Amino acid sequence: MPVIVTENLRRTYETTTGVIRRKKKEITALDGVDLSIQSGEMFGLLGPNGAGKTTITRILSTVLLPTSGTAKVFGLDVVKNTREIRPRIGLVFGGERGLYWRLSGYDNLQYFADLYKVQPNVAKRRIPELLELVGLTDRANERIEGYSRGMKQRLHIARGLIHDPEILFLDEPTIGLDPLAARDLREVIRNLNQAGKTIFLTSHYMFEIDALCNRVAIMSKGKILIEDTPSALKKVVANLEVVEIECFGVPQELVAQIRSHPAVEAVNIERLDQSQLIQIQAPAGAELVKEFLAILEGIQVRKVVTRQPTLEDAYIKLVGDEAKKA
Amino acid sequence: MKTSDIMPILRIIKNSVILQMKSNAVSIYFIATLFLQPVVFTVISVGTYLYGNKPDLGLFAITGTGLISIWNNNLFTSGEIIRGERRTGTLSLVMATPTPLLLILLGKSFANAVASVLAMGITFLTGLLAFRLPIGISDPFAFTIGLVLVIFSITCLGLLFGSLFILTRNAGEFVSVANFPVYILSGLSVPLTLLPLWTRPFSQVLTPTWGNIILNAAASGSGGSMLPNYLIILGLSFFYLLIARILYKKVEYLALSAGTLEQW
Repeated sequence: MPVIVTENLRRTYETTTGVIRRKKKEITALDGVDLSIQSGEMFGLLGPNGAGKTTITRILSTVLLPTSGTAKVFGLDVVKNTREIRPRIGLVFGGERGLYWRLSGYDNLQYFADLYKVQPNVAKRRIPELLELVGLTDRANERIEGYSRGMKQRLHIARGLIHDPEILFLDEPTIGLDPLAARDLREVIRNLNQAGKTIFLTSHYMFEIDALCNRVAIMSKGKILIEDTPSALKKVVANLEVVEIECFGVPQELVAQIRSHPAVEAVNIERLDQSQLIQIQAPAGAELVKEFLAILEGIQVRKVVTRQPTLEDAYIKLVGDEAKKA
Repeated sequence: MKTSDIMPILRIIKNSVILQMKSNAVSIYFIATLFLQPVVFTVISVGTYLYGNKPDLGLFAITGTGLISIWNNNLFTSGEIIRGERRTGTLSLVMATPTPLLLILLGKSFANAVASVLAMGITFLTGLLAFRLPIGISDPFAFTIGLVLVIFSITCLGLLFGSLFILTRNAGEFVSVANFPVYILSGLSVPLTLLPLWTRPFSQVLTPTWGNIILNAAASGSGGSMLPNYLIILGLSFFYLLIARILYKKVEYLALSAGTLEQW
């Protein structure tokens, strides 16, 4: 049974430019989004910054109104039935904001328990359980201004669960965390899903979505590009291989030359500490490495690797195709 | 309404009061507003009457100044509460809970108002130390009841202005401008009799007007029965709360529609 359904969901924002002659400009954050998420699912929404992930999370969690279209949670309208929806959903944003820094972790949870009208005897039992779940029992009575980023993020999860919601919206929950803290948090999220919670997770980390979600939608510029299981999405790039060339100081013109090669499907550049990693998607078996190295003649190349594509490559290809169309 | 419905509401108000008090205790802005402002206002206001050969208005200046401090403190800190929620990123999270924002802010604003009782004390103390005005209050019982009622009522009035901060992060400028007419029209800085007649209807719907009448009468012992004035203050408080309830629903809708909850 679907617990989240959106139909042709749109959201636009108005901004103004200029001082004397102010001009209004409309920005489309969501452009006709259709989604259907089943109870108990771990659903992942992938997309670059500005794709509309946060906007859709805010709309579904009743803190932002859509411009048009419909969004229903538990069959209830997110505009008209906020009072019925709010006690049944939990909301967790990434980053350090969203907590009362001058209060202890325990007091933060206690305050939100009151706001969610959790019975005192239930809250008394649940708060220590949640602190245990997120590994903060020992620091529960300290003011959270002294917490590390990872600890605050874990407290966010506990806060989102204080009223035992049926659906948990997680908007980039691991953003800014060190790899160890992010791994711990992913483990917590996985356990919550196994305990029966429906999870709506947004991220721009492909491996995170790949590791956690049963179903994934990829968003770009306010639209859903594709929606399927992670393994099915990888099939988008099944007949491709990825050539990775690590080099130093590649000018944009040479990258453009590689990109314009007729056999190249997509190119992505990752900035490493000292070097750059060019990831080129091309048909499997095309043996184009020599041609790419010829284009990069004169550039110091550190390493060349050819590998099988991942979900991240599928994402790069889909978002890249969309950008080309635009 | 059943007891089981009232208890969660009281719990939210109580915990909002505690949360706000903990935040205020470490807020330089709050402490400065609370302690410094009454001293400055009292010196200027009482000084003006005394050196203008109107010593009989000294007590009026004291109670008026005390109420100005309570009003100012409540108004600015009510706005600061929402600004603080924006800054910490909790505004959208508390709005995502089933508890009406008005209830949360009522608790937090009340905490500020209770703290501002100190402002009244500081005003009397400044009058004593700077101008040797006696602290003597003829009817302490009537004065205390009046003070409690007026603080509650000013909290409710402050909530009306506070709603603007939900709508926009730039509400501070508007509130700064709107602040002065309230205490002028309430007769806190100059007696009501000096204001033009057309201002009377505005004065009568502002709770500080009645608070000032009660506190003055109780302090000087010049008043008769206070009951009608108490009832007017209570009536105005419920009137403000009623408008606030409608206003907050509208303002929340507009803020959700504009998507401005997380701007800071």
